[in-house]
Order: sequence, then C-alpha cells, then structure tokens
Amino acid sequence: MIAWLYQKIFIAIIPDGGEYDVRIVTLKQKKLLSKESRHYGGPSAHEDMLVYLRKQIDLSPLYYIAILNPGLHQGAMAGCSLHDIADELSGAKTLCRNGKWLLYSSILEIDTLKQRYSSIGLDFIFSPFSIIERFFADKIGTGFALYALAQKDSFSVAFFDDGKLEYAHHYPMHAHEGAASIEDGSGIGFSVGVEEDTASEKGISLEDIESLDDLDIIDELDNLSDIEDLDSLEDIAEFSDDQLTLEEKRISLPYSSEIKQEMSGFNDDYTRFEFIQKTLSYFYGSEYCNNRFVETVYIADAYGSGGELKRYLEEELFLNVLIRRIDMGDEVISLAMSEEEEL
Amino acid sequence: MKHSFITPRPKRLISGELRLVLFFFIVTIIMLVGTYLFLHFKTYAFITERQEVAREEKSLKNTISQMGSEIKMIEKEVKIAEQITTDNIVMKESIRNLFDLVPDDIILDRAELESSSLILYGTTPNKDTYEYMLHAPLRSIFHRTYTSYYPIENGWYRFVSSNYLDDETVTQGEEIE
Repeated sequence: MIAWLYQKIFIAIIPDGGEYDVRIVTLKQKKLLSKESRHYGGPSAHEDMLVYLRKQIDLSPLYYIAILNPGLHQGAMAGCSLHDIADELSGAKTLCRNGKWLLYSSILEIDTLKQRYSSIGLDFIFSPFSIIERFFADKIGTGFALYALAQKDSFSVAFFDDGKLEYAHHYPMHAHEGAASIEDGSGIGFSVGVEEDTASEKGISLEDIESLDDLDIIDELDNLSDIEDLDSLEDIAEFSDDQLTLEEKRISLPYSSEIKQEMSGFNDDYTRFEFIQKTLSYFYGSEYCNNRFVETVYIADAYGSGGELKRYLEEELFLNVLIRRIDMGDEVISLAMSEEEEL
Repeated sequence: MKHSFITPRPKRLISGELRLVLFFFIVTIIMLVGTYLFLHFKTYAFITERQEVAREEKSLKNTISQMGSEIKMIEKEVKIAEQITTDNIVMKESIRNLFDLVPDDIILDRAELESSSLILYGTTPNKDTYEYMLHAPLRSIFHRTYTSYYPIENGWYRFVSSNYLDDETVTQGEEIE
C-alpha cells in the first residue's frame, strides 16, 4: 500500500570467475532514477562488494538482489516430468517452464550461495538458461537452432525448437574459489543432471582430447551429414597442441598484458568451440536428435571475445553463427523486474 | 517464480524507527481525534442543555406571567374584599348610628339604607316627637329630607322619612370619616 513511497532498487550480481560485476538500477514508480555499474576484483572482491551493497540497500527497504547462478551443477532439460519429484529424489531445485522444459540446480549449491550472501540476502537466483531464453526470445520460437551463453567462467549451450528446449548443458570454464567447495559438497545426492552422467559415460573429456581427430563427433558428423570438409578441422589442432607451447613461451618471454589477454581469448574461444562440438556430438548421438541438424548457432557473448569462436564454428563445422553482445547486468535486472512484477 | 530458484524475501517497508515514529504519530492523531470528539460531544451536550434551559426559562417566564396575573387578580380581590369589609364596617356603624338616632318613643317598621339614601318606615306617637327627636338629627346628616305622615287608629302617625345625600356631601362625609 505504501510501496509507492519508496524507491525500488534492483541489484544484479554477476559472478565472473572470482570477480564480480554489480549493476544497480533504482526506480521510482517505474521511472528510472539511476543506473550504476561496478566491477570488483582481487582477493577481497567479495567482501568489498558486500560492503558496497550494504550501503546501497540501506537507501530503501524495497530492494531486490538477483544473482546469476554460478553453480556447477545446474542445467536444463526437456519435459517437466521430474519437476515434482526432483527435490526428494535428487536434491535438485527445479523450475518448470511453460510445462515443456525445466531448469534445475543443486539445492546444496543454492543453499551455499544463499549462505555466502547471507549478510545482504538474495531474492532471485537465475539460471543462465533463463538468460538465453529471454535474450533470444525473438529467435527461439522460429525454428531449431543452438543457443549459447558465453561467460568468462562458464558456457551454457541449449537446443531450442520452436520455443521448446530439446537439450542443454552447462559447462564451467575455470574452477574458481566458491565452485571448488560446491563441487566437493554437491557430489552427494545430486543426480538430476542426467546430461552430465551421460556425457561422462560417453567418455568425452577435455583432458582426453588432444586433437580433433580423436573426437567421435567427427565420425558421427560424417555419418549423419554430407559434410566432407570436416577434415579441415585438423587445421585448428594448433590451438590444442600449440597452446601448451605458447603457455611455455609465456613463462620465458615478456608478453604484454594485451597479448596475454588475446591468448586467453583464443584459448577460451577454442574451449567454447570444443564445448559446442562436444554438445553437438552428444546431441546427434542421442534420442533427442530426431533427424534434426543444427544449421545456426546463436551466441550471447558476455565477455566480448567471440570472434575466433565464430570463425571456428563457421570454418570447421560449417554453421551459421550469429553473435550478439549481451550485457549480463541488464539481463539479470530485466529478469528480476519481470519476476518482481508477478509478485 | 518463473525464472528464479528462490522466492524473494518479504520486504519490511516500515523500519523500526519509522514504526516508532508512526506509532507516536498515530497515538497523537488518536488523541487529537479523541479530544475533538470529546469537545464535539461536550459542545453538543452544552447546546442541548442550553436549549433545555432556554425552554425551561421560557416556561418559567410563562409561569411567572401567569402568577403575576393571578397576583394582580388576587390583589384586586383583596382590595375588593377590603372594600367590602370597610363598607360592611361603615354599614354596621351607620346602622348602629341610625338605631342610636331613633328615640325609644318612635317605632321603626322598616329601614332601607342605601349608599346615599335612607328611607325609614315607622310609627310615632305624634308629629312633634318625630320632628324634634328624629327629624332634626336626620336633617343634620342628609341634605334633603322628606317626611310623610299618615294617621292611624290609635292616634299615632305612621311616617315615611326619605333622606338623601348629594354626591358632594357623600365625598365630604367620606373625607370626614
């Protein structure tokens, strides 16, 4: 009744591999008053961010803190059959979307995340797949395609067919401070992520892949399509073999920070390329495929280094690639606002 | 929630300090409203009481007016009673004086005493007795005196004496009294 007297403060926290991007949007009666962004890095990033956020939330009691789920054990899957029983059976929190597909995340990871932010509290925890669904809302209803959200420390891949999720996988890019402990603890009783189990059964592991020739996907792609130029994938073997050489050289040679960043981008792009390749391999070999083949890949690029990835995908997998720059802060704030309106 | 794995915490829009301020504010408003209602009630009661008193005053004024009229009436009656008493006393005295005037030799049969006249009916042994013993005092009292004699069988005379007082004489007589 008296909520109109107060400002509404929406705070988005984007964990980014031990660093944090914070976006604060202040509204009053749906009118934008201010918009502020901050980046926190270094060993005391989390504490510094909490101190800053505590000051911000003192300005109005009507504040909502949203965070993009940084958990490793999360994902999405087709169908909502597990929605009601997931909590009891597998320790996963699920959200059914339109009765067609569901989002899931480890309850343990969510509790750990809530505990980690207990001093300021959390109001919304969003899945990266919700970001994909919202960001590509104009595309996912138009046919079958692969959609990806590329963040610095994670890579989320999802197949949508006319708005319905067919298959999805969430890949962590790097182990970071909170994730290691979460991973250690979440091994107990978390099994909704059937994709992870299935993927491990398929024996696909980044450590095991030394060249693209070793990837089963190449054979599967040969069997499944008329693509004859996949041999050219060998050209990019340099990114796996030579990468180690570059790392070794980095130790001895005085590279500038720009070169380091560029090399990091190359490595990340190649890793993401491998994730997409692996996901395609699993998808084509699974019952989800139904003789459908991906022609277009939509990538939401949150870290601004998708040029190489686009080239890899176009040249090696012959995919049409559309990369859109995404501001994660804005998207999380937008999701938080839509959720708040439904309260 | 459609996208969030958790539901937002309930927001406490009213902080402790604000709650305290609102509490005192509300208490103040309640006291003001209570005072206003009390004064309003008292004013209403006072107006009602004033109207009642005005009505009672009007009623009392009417009663006083009626009592004044009654007092005037009673005063008039008292005056009348006093006048009657006085008249009776005067009348009594007049009658006594009249009978004192009449000598033993003269017998009165009837007397008609009015405010300004006296008519006597009686018998006298002779005219001289009447003339000297009764007529003389009567003439000294009344302005006009007329006497008629009628002889009767035993030699006496029946007489009728009409005596009148003029108005001035009456006034003078009252003043003398």
